[in-house]
Amino acid sequence: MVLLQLLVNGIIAGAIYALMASSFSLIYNIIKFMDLSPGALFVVSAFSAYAFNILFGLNFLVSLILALIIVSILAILINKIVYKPLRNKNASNFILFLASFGVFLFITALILLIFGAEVRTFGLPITRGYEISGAIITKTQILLIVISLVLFLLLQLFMKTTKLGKAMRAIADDKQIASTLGINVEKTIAITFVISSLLTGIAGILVALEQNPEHTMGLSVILKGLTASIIGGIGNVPAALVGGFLIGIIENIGIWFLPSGYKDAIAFVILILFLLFRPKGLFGVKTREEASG
Amino acid sequence: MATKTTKGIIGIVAVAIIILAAVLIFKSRDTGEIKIGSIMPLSGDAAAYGLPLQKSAILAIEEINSQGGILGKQIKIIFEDGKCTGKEASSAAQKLINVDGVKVILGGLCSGETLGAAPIAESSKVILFSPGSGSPDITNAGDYVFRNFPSDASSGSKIAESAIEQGYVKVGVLSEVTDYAQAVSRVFKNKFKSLGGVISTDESFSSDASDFKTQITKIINAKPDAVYIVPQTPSKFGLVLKQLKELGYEGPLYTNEIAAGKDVLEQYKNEIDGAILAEPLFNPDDPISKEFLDKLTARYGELAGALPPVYLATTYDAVYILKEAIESCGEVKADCIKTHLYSIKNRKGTAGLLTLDPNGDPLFNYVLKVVKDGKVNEYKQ
Repeated sequence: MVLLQLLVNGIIAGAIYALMASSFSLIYNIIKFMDLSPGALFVVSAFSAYAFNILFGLNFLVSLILALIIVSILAILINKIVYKPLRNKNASNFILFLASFGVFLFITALILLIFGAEVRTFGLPITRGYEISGAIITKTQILLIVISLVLFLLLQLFMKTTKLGKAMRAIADDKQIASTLGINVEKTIAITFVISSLLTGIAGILVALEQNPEHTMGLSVILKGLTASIIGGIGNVPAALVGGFLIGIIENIGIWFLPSGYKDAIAFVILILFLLFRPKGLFGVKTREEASG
Repeated sequence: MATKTTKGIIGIVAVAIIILAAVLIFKSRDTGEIKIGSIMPLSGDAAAYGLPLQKSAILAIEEINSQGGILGKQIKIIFEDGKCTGKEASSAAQKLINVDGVKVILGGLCSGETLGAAPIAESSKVILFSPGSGSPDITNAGDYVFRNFPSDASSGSKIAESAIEQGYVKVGVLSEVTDYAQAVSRVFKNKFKSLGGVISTDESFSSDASDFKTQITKIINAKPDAVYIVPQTPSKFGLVLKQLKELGYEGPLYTNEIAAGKDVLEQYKNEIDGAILAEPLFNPDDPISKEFLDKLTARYGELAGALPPVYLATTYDAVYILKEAIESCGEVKADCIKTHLYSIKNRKGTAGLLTLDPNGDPLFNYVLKVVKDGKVNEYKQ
């Protein structure tokens, strides 16, 4: 069944986009600018896990945990060294966006400098995938989809039930009121960066297992992750998930009919259509100002 | 207001004149060194080639400089990152020619880079000498454009002939969207069709993609007799091999010299086994070639991870070829260097014998090889 295979291919790609999109949306929600640094953390996480696991020979789980610790620290540092001073100077969102792009380029170049551009693999055995009614999927790919969904559910649970999650949502609604209510805004922002970096970090490692660590891997997930979060409705975390899977599936089914060179074009045409006709995304809600005004 | 504007304009003009004068004075000053520009991919996936080849060029330059340089002057090489794209390479060429004032450029490496830089080199009458671009389109890229790396036209046609001889009538093609890979796959497709073959699926992937599963699904679904893969870099090639196997393809595989790099041979040993590839004829055991490769390894460690060693040799040779040309001219004069280059016949270098044809292309052969147990062997039909 070819259609089923295309659907499976789309879901695998979608799981990656969805994780990245949740990460982008989470940050956007709370600090209201498109932060591109997750693209860099994605790469750092993949290469850290590779370095610990393959170069230093540590156990995979230990490597994964160490890599996640590294990206969380890095996320806190980026927020503290770059974004916080800019926020204190009341820099516009555009300036913050550019700064985050700078962070992304800087870290990616650093990874190239340290690791070079040669082929690196985790050395997992390559075998024919499992066949499920005609569609083929490998163990790593199943893991990727399952982890992506589990992380998403955990994130939802966290946002809805914990005090910290509620604080994050309060800040997303209105920073000033949240602050007067006694919520420590800066601390919550830092924690949001950590949570986002964990999502990105896990995505980076999963993708590195599936597609090898490459210093160039960040850019395409930035583009697709952002597209997914915009299609879902920017700042809406559950919608980002839907956006991610939607793009993955549409682009893979799309190139069955179109030459495969159009794969990226398909995703961006969808993005443009959404920006033109549904700029708030699939599940976009009106902001407070629009609702009252 | 008017006076303010006038003053402003005068101010801007004055500043512009001062800058221009400074540039001219700076440029005309004889720095006592010979500047050579270089365009190679120093970032992105193709940096896997660019970075080792940069070292190979530096080795040659260091040797020349330690022996007194060219015409008593030291060589200074200025590297620019062409990022494997025509756009970046053309701005790099602009910078090298207009800002640094070079008359000779070593590069580009990717065919896209050479094709992007060629029009600029041509109109500024600057020598562009590529040690690694294989696209057949470079043959007619210009009078000032040379290479000591063969056109891949013969690579594509050799593969097409071999596939037909094996009785494969339906071949699926998967190529990377780069100038080089597209040109080679085009040559293959035309030749294969002219020999009576059918291209069952013609698919491509962009250089920043890592997921080719749907392209491969399409190719497998058309049930081809064989698959021809034309990648630009080893990292993409590895992923294609992995995804082919995961999706269950086990048939014959044809590809290009990227399969002959150590990284691919080691990390994808099982997946690449049995693949047939076309590679420029190069004998790493030739005494001159071996001496060079040993020297390079002694200086920088193992470099030929991602790329077949022939590239290291052509890059090293290219620096010496340019040195000889400049020496025979007595100065860095592009027209004289050009004439010298066209006259090169049977020059013995680390990459073998070199003769340049009237298009500035080397007479160089491609041979078919087969991968067996992580080694590249002579292929006999």
